[in-house]
Amino acid sequence: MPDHPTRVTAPFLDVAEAFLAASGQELHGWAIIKASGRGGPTVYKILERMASLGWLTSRWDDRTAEPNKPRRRYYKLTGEGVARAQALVGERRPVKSHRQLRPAFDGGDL
Amino acid sequence: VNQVWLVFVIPVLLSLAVNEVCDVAPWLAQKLVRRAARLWAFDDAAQALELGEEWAAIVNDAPGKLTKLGHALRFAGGAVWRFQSQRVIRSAVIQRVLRSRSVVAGSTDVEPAIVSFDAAVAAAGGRIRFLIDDLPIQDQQLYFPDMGEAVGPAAVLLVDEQGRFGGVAFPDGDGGFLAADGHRYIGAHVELNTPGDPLMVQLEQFVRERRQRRGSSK
Repeated sequence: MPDHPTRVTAPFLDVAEAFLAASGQELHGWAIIKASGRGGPTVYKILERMASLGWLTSRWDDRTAEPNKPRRRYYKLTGEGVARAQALVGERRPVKSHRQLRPAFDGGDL
Repeated sequence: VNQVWLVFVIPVLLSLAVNEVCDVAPWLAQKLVRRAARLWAFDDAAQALELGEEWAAIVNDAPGKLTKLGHALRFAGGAVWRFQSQRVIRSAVIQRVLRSRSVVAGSTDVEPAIVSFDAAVAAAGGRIRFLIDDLPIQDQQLYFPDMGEAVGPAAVLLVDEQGRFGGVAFPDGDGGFLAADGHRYIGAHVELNTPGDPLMVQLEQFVRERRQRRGSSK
């Protein structure tokens, strides 16, 4: 089983970033769709790919209080998944610095 | 009378219709995603049930009524597309990156490496992402790690619904592939063919038989 994606796409990076932004929290399907800004089928194809890479674990929600509602499934990056996703996102989407030089008006000290 | 229709009846009927559609939308969305999940999972009933519930939860989580239907339609669209791809793959074609030497020779930006069949499969992460210069399959084959996307398939493997290997088809110059029996197939992309996959087993067996035949004919 390969441990890194053979084809890295923008949606793949978006989903990886959504997981990384959750900082170890579990995410359910709707949360991933919202956070990544990608459509359901796209997200699920990527989840399948991540699972096949061994990056993801999942568990079913226990909604005993609401038996008639469909259960959510929660996903979380494994330890290895976090490391590899961070490396991949860091490599493909390096964080741009938001610090900018601004003119110091009214003779402010620099 | 016309004005009465325009001013009173039509707006009332329209609002009733919109109201009805909005009320039905969540129910319809739930039905739609479960059906979409069945298509998505193709022939895996257990996966279809799980996905159906999971997607139903997503639709449930989506705000609004028509939005739920919108998400369900999106799932349905994706599932139909995937089902079509899977059907083509499973019922007739495993398109794979079987390379002919002539196709590869046209590319100068890729360094070919001579590797064995098994090494090619291993290097490709268990996927059929390799190989042959011409049929019959050779012991030593050309393997181009990223040629799949670069030049497109030179041939496709044909399998039946049980994943049994059934021959090879070659491009017909019109976007499809023509098999020896005259059937035309449309190619599709295959992601999962691990070494334990029935198709891979069949392929390996096919290669072994080829080798044995060639060995016995020498």
